Amino acid sequence: MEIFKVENVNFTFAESSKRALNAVSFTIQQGSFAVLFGASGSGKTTLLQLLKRELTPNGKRDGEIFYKGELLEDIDAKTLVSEIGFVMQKPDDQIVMDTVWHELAFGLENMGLSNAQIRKKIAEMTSYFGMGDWFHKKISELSGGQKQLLNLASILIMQPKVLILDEPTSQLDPIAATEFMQTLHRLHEDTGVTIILVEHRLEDVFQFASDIMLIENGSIIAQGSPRIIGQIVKKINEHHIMLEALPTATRIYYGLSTFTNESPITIREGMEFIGNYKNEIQELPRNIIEQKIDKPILAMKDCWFRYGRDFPDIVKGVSLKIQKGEIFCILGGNGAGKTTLLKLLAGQCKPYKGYVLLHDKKMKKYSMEQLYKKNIALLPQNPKTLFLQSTIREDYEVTAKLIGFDKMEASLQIERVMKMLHIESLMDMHPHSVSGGELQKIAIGKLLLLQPKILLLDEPTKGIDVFAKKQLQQLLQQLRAQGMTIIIVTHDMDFAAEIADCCGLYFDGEVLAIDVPKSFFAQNNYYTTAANKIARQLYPNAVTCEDVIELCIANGLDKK
Amino acid sequence: MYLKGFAMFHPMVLFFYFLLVFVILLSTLNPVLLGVFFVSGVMLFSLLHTFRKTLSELFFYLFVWLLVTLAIPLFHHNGMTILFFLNDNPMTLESMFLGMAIGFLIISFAFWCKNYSLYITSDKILYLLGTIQPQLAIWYTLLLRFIPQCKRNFRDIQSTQKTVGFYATSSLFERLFGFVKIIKVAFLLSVEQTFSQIDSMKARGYGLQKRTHFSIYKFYIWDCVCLVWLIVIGILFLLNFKELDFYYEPSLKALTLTKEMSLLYGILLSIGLLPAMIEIKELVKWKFLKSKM
Repeated sequence: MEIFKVENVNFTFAESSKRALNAVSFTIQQGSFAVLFGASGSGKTTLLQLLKRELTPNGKRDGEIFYKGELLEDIDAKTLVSEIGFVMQKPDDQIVMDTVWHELAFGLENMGLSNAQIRKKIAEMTSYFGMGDWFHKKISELSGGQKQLLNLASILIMQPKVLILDEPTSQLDPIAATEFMQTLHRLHEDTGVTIILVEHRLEDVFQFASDIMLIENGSIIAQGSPRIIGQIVKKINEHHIMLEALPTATRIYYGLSTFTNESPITIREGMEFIGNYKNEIQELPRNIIEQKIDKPILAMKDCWFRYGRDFPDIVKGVSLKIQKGEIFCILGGNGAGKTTLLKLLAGQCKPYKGYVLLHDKKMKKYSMEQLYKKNIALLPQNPKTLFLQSTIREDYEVTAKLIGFDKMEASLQIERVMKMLHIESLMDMHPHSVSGGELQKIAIGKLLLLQPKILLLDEPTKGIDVFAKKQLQQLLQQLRAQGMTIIIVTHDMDFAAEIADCCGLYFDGEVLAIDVPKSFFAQNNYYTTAANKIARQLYPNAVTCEDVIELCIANGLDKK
Repeated sequence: MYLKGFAMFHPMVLFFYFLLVFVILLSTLNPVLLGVFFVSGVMLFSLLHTFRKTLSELFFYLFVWLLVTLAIPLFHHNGMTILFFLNDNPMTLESMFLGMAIGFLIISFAFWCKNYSLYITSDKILYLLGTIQPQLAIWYTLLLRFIPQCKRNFRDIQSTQKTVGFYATSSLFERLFGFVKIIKVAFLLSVEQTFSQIDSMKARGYGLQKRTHFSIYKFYIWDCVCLVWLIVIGILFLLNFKELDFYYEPSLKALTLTKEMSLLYGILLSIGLLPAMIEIKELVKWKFLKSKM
């Protein structure tokens, strides 16, 4: 039975003239697990919001949406609220109450259930999700993953028939994200609830999905099962950017030729598929850029840091050397203190033991002005905090004035940055109203106005789509070519493998295993990229998708 | 939130308890009652904190007490018994006693406030508010989450802005202006979050019909007993208010300790000591249980 039927829906926002959704039609069967993907700004969120009547934004809609064969508008509000559940993107933005148990009860209270009924349902939900340990906790004590799990649970407690999720893992670290997806899968298997999910990271979710839809510029351009969606997209455009979003195994499969069979989607299937290739050539000849061992531009010597006398040490005797013109990636789990390490390098925090050297001079001896004008710039985890003015242009102008440019010079510099980042069309928008990828770009733009020699980035790939990620990668490489030194803190291993000259693993207050990405990942068995996991039996040094594809082509199929 | 000892009583009972204590404490300056609530307040505080902490608090409040005791006679000159003149103002014995009494009142009140905040936590306030006015309780919760969020945003923005040269100016006016700007942006960012929370409330059926109010608190038999006891004492206190009330001027009221009055003081002492007794009982009980195991 079809649970949702969308027919020819167009949607235009109240304040805009452009159509956000254009002739969208699809059906979703009861009990299916549908995944929607597409670039930011393609209308995914808008589409989801149309399916949840309470969240439908202001605007003009035509076309029809049927829920269980009835028009969505005709269904009684109370039924709709509990039967269609919606989980939003940011964990914090949807929690209303201040304790876990009360958040769970919130929806049921709205439905007017009695105390005894609510108590029973909460008990059931808490046991199912194993939340017993943190049932009494305050929201502020929870981790991001726990918060998102709570959001899921407080929707599920209302027993929805359909669960709609809008990029629920975009703000989580990879481990928490994988766990969340597995929970979702278990739920789907256990209860048969229909799931409609929008997601950027398809690696974990493809194997669970039954239906994939690609949305572009407000229209659904491809729809199919996970194993054939790649073919459909390839038929539209051989080099469609969204092909990059597919799981690694699928990308390798399509990278090797135009196969028409069903594609592998998990790592294990990918390994099986690669097994058909010979492994005589283990490594491709590459012009490896010789690392010049210069005096490091930025160095840390036995640094110790904690936030207060009674707090634990977060950085424990770290020594680091960063060469001029390299991209240095610091990887590590959540809460390991990577951000703190970056703050030490940026001079925002001061070590209580040891010192940081910038251009061979102790960081302490620099004044604020010397440090942040034409020297070091830090992109914080939340780039919104960089902007104080009401348009991006205004903000850039204020920054240019602060740095001491006169009017002519300022407009010249802004022009240069604008051209380099292709952000001309965004300049008159409010900095808080642009999408995640765009925000990342305008934030880097602002930092570039300060003409830094060293650029520090804190989790730059958090919550952005493949397209924005590719652009970021190109931008950083371009900056490196201009001689800039870039330090990135991230838990995105694939990104680090693609871009880094040098990787370090941050664990328990120390930076371990500093190495070039190839050996860094090749030596790890578990903490490594998906491509490396797939290929490691045959080509242990292949760490990116491209490496694997090139090696397979070079070796050729095994005829046996 | 771990409930034990006196905190195991229903929030309503706890609330009435502290209400009664504050009413009794603040409505008379009766030296016996002041003594009773001073001793019981400090005792309860010491049971909930380390010895060191209690001592340092007591030390601090000793100064407060001295200050008040000395300050009141300086500005207040009523009373029959003039001891001496200071700058042509009479210093009276009565106003000195009044000073001491007010000093004790302030210290006792401070200790009871500290005890209050340990037992009546924000979620209990929320519960109490919710039983009276559920709508108000939700907005109060949103506010409770809004303020720390605002603070966090402010901190983040400030530390980021430092790195882009925002404070690199010596003009005080510009610094002040920048400070205000940061507050504004921090506030707006938090408002964005609140809007999204309101969406989430709507999505879960807020406002569709009359809400019920869920709580994890249960009303047990001992809550009932305690509540009745509190009401009885409240009535006793009101009936005997005239005898309990005390004045220092023009001359001290005579303290008559009749049999009935001693009994009444005893009963009021039992109110002051109730939480401390329960906490001690709890301590002893667990010690005993442990030794049996």
